[in-house]
Amino acid sequence: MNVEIVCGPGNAAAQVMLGPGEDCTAEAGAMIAMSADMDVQTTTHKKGGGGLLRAAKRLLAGESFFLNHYTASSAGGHLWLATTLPGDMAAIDLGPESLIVQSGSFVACEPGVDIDMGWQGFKSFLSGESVFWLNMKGPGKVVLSSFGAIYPIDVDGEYIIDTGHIVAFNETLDFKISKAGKSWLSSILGGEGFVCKFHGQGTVWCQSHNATGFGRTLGPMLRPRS
Amino acid sequence: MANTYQGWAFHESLDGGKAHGTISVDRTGVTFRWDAGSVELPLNGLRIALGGAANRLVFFRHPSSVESWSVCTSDRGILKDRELATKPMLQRQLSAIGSTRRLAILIPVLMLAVIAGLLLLAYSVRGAFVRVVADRIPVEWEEKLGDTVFRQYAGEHRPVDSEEIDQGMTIILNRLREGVDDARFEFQVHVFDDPDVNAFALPGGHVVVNSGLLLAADSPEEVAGVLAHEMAHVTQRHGLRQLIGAAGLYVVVQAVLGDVSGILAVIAQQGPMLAVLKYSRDHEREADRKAFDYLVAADIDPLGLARFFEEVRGLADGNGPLGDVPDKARESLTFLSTHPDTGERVERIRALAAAETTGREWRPIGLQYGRFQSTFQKTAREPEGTPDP
Amino acid sequence: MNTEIVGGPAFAHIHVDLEPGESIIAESDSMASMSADLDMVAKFNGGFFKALFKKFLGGESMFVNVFTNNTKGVRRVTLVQATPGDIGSLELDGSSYCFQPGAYICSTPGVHLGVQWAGFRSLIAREGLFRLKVSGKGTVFFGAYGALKQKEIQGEYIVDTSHLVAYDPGIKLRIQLAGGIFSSLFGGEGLVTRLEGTGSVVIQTRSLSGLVGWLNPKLR
Repeated sequence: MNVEIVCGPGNAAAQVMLGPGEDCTAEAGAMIAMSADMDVQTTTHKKGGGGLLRAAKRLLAGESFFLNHYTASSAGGHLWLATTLPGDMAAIDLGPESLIVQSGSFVACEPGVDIDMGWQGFKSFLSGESVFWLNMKGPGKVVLSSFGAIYPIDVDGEYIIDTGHIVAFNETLDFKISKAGKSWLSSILGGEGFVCKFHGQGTVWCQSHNATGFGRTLGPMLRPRS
Repeated sequence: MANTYQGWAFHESLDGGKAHGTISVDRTGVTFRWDAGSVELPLNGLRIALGGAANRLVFFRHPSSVESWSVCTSDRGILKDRELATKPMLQRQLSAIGSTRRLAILIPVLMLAVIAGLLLLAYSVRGAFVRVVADRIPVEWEEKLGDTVFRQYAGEHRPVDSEEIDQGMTIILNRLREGVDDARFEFQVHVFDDPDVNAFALPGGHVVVNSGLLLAADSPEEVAGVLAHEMAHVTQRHGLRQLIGAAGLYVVVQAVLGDVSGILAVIAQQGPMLAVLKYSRDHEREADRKAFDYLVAADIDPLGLARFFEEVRGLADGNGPLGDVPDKARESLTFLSTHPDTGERVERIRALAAAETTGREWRPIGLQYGRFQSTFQKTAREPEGTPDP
Repeated sequence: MNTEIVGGPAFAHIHVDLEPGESIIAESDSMASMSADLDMVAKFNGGFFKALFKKFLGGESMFVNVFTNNTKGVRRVTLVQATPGDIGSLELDGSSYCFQPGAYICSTPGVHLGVQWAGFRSLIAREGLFRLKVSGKGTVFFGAYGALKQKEIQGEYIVDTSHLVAYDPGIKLRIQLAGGIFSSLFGGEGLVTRLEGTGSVVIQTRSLSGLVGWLNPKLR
């Protein structure tokens, strides 16, 4: 499967090109266009197992209950995928390792990639992300989306990412909730509050904006719901 | 044949800094093999630790011989590998890992319990929090706020402009000041021309008394009682505490931790409400108690306040003498509506007096109240149907 | 210092590479990611009272963050704004420039952040009583909701009030109705800003009040 991201970072869409008989798994609602002879199946599980429990866990992790499996015909096919919020998309090629992805960011993957819900501990309450993450186990390609532009950071040692700005990271990295400045006072007064300090070796994919920040700016101007 | 596990190695010499391969354990050490080579970490001096996201990975390092190499795997079965598990020198590390994992489950459960407990606690001591926050707000802020609200009020109502009235009120106020030992506030009493029986205090020190109230009272001790009560609201910062209490736990906690901007914004926005605020029962009780203390300290008969309440209540029921209160005032006894449970409060004040001040002689306030009232009625608006004095 | 604005015009963000000893000043909560060994200190935005002013009347935050590189190597900090949009930069050489509340993102240490009275009309136009006025020597980064366009004006120019981002301090602003009463009420334009003078002006192609106006009727 070949993935090309176009129109990023504001209105990204992913063009997925499948060889003859190749499969692609995508979340429900992501498809905007596809070849006429593509075969689509909607199930609650990945081909190969999982079932309702996995589907329920995916719901918790901010994904949809259902998954769509697209199979190309013998002539190959292509598929256009996009997401609801404006933002960027990224295609990541996973080796036989796991990628920890923020909830709601999954768009599509190769059938060999396993999707499960992950738990990163209670620090997730403070991380600006949902408490439930997605664990994607390769090998295979994965397509992710976010609100904001996605940029990777290679971590070797330590790096700080502000809460709410994490899209995905390698499982070889761990993060702690920490303060941004030299003191907690600086961190809180400076508006940063908590930040996520990553340590280890690996890559973190960050998003430049987050929906919460935008919501907080926009929210007070909106009419209160009666 | 030794077991092999899928894993990764990190080293700067590797392409991209990392390589994927297989790990196997034998009697001499842990070996990582990838397509371009292999590396062995001897069992002697081997360091095993959990790491990676959520501590799911097992890391092997050997700082003394192959330093800067890290080998890891997500397959925790390696910890049970026969070669590793039977090596006595590694027992300690392996059991440490075991207990780390057990702790990792126990700690979150404990934390949940603690968090729930804390939330309950925070909710139950909200009052204390509010007080702490109120203390953080500088008096100058309150004064500014009170000034603004007062100016709004003064703009819409007519003040009573009479030197005699001012002098009379000053006499009462000066006596009261002897008993109020709070240097933070500068009290200013303003009399407004309004038949409504009402008096209120604004944060910072402005006290507003209506002509209606002064006419309904019978003696300067009664007026002093009402003033002491309102001044107590100011010194105990009830208006401020009421606003803070309504602000929501999150903003209050923020303010306790140091960021008062949220609470200041709430106060600034709700400021105008202060003119029509109805204090909570606890605040009223506190104000009554403090007023009692102030009056006693100023050597003024504290029962004046109780008598005033009784009178006003009598007026509302239509039982008291009506000749000196205009009809309009009876309908709009705002003082009563903002100060409910009058009966209970009269009882309490009388009980306090009986308990703490039996046999005391009081120094009367040097003001001829009848004359004060009559000068007052001359300058106040003439309601219909009242005979001229 | 090396700065790079990427991701525009939709999700612009700034990668700032600080050399050892260098600093950059940024508004509250603008950091998206940074090297762990950079020092970050929060400071009052121009002294306590000015900061209070700016927060309540100018729409800016009370505190600013100063990121300093006290290590021996180059370190990176990535700065963003809360709303999606473009980011622009301005070189100041002893000159000054005025910004709408919320437009400022970060600046080099030689730039001074002050407030300027914007007049009651500005309050009516819901733009706040004060404007941010930057002066000094250095670079300022600012952003908006939408893409940014810079225009040179000579004489007069009319801009929809919620689309103005920044302008030369020599330009005078007047708020007025868009057309007559009729076109103001029904033409959807309402109040506009009349700019008089010579200098440059920066406008944004979208406005938050436009989005809010579109969303509000849909929220039931």
